[in-house]
Amino acid sequence: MVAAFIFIVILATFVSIRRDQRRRSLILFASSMLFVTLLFLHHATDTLGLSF
Amino acid sequence: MNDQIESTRWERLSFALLHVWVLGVCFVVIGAFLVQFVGRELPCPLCLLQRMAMLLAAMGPMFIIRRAMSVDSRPAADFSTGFGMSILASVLGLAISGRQTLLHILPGDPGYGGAVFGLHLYTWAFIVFIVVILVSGLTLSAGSMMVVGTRGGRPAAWSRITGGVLGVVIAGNVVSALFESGTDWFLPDNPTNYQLIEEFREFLETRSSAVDPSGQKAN
Repeated sequence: MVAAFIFIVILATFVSIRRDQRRRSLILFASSMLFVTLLFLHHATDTLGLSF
Repeated sequence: MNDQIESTRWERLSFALLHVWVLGVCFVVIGAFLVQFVGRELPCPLCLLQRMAMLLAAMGPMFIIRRAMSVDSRPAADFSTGFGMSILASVLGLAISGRQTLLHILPGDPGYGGAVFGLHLYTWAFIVFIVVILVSGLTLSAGSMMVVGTRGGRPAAWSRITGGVLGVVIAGNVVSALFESGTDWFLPDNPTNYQLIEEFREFLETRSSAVDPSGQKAN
């Protein structure tokens, strides 16, 4: 569900770029990057038992 | 006069390159879809993260293409913002694909999934991210020549097609990720089936077992 949610945020970024909403597209892009980084950290540390 | 014609040529080349870039990324993700559906190999969590980073890397050129059509476009600023977006997403993608490559680097390790042209998909992704960073760096270095000027009016047909293909690829990933994860928060390390279909099947079985053989509903 988290992965699908991030893809939805990426889709929203794409839609805001298409609608020429400069500021919103940059905010959504930054949010997507943050979510992808957090999900990556979760999967990278999962086996270490860090409960990230 | 000659300088002006030369600059317009570079601008056109740069604008065409942005479309090729977006379509190239879409082509790679469509290739991953083919491996998923035709080769029946479900993407692991790290594979999905690489797809996300790849699609985010395509947002930069898409941003420049769209801003070039805008009435309030600022060519130099939009150009650097777009390539900045691509570089950031590619660095993140490089970290993800690099980690997956290192997970399977020991001799004798068969790797995750099948190989395409001798390399696994995560190794291809690593190469794609390096190429994106190199192309971004080279294009930014030649910024004065390559910057895309304002092109007012409606986007050209090929710009709309490029955007449409990217939109469809992202939407396809939303559906695919939803089917793969079902109602679970996170994907398992080695997914073997589409969780949403399994959950729906279980739901149907629970419903049918709640009905007794005589056809009457149980209390």
